[in-house]
Amino acid sequence: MSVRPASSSPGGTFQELRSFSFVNKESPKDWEQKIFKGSTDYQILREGSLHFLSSDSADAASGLYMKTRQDATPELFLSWKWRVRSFPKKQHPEMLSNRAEDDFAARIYVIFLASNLFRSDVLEYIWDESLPVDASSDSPYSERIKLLVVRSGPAGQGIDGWRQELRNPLADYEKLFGKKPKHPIGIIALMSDSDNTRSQAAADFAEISFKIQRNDP
Amino acid sequence: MAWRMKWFMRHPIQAKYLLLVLLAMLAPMVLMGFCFYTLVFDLMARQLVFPEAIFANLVPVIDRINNLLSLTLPVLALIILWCALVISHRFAGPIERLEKDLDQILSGDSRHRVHLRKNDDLSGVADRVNALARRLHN
Repeated sequence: MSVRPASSSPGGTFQELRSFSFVNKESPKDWEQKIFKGSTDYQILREGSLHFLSSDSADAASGLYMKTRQDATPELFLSWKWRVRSFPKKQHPEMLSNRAEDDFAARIYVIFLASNLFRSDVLEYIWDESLPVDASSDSPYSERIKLLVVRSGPAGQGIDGWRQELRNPLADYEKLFGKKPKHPIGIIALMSDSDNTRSQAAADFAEISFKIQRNDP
Repeated sequence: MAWRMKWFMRHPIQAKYLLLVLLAMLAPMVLMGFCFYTLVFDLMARQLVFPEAIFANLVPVIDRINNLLSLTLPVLALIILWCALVISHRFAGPIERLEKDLDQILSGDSRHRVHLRKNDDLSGVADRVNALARRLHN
């Protein structure tokens, strides 16, 4: 467990609670993969001191997930770095929720896991190429799945392409669902998919972790 | 041989047997069906993990199965009810017939005999009652 300085707008310092990072070649074993159509190519790469998960999807949809158990509180933040290298080609990029084009280069799932899985609520943090930050919508599949654009902008390459995120799942849940979550966070997942648009998508993920905000005296 | 045409009698014992048979048939079926239904879909959902996959692939299957069940369950319920009626009638019918025939003998008709179908479970009792009635009459 390490103490790091605040990495985004919220004040205070952040103490790492649990890391889902990709520190070495063995890291993907900690994650489980689900293949839905074709297999997104996930592999651990390194740029300087940064180890990250590289994902390349070509007309494919498969995601990685890890189980956890964390109550969503005002102090709990999910932190991660990501970089999109290419976005799936969409006919209607202005539509966030579109069953025919439900592909995103990079999305992080926070699943509030109910004992009955069908009653689980899901937040999806998305990096979209054109939609504005804070754009949100129900998923085309269920109103229990909320899509939220947390990063907007073009693909980037190299070290300048990386973006840091720090989200409070409780605040996002309350904003999108209009109520408090009944269940703890049970699964963290990520995916790059391009199967609906039959195109290609590529993104990188790094340093995914839960952090607790400590307010400085 | 007396032929009982009515499937549902006024005798309360048939209602008792009917309820017992219905419970004996329905309770395990409903319990097993519910466990199987929820367990299978829960396991499948846990295998899929990703919510889009669950709602895109599994929920339509569940909807189709629900539609099928909404059609087949009423038919199945009718079949079970009919089976329960037949079984309860087979239990209660001979008892009612035995009571009626004994009432007639007790009312003074000493020539009257108990008539049950050959395969009725109480036919042995009926034979003995008839033997007793004959002995008393003679």
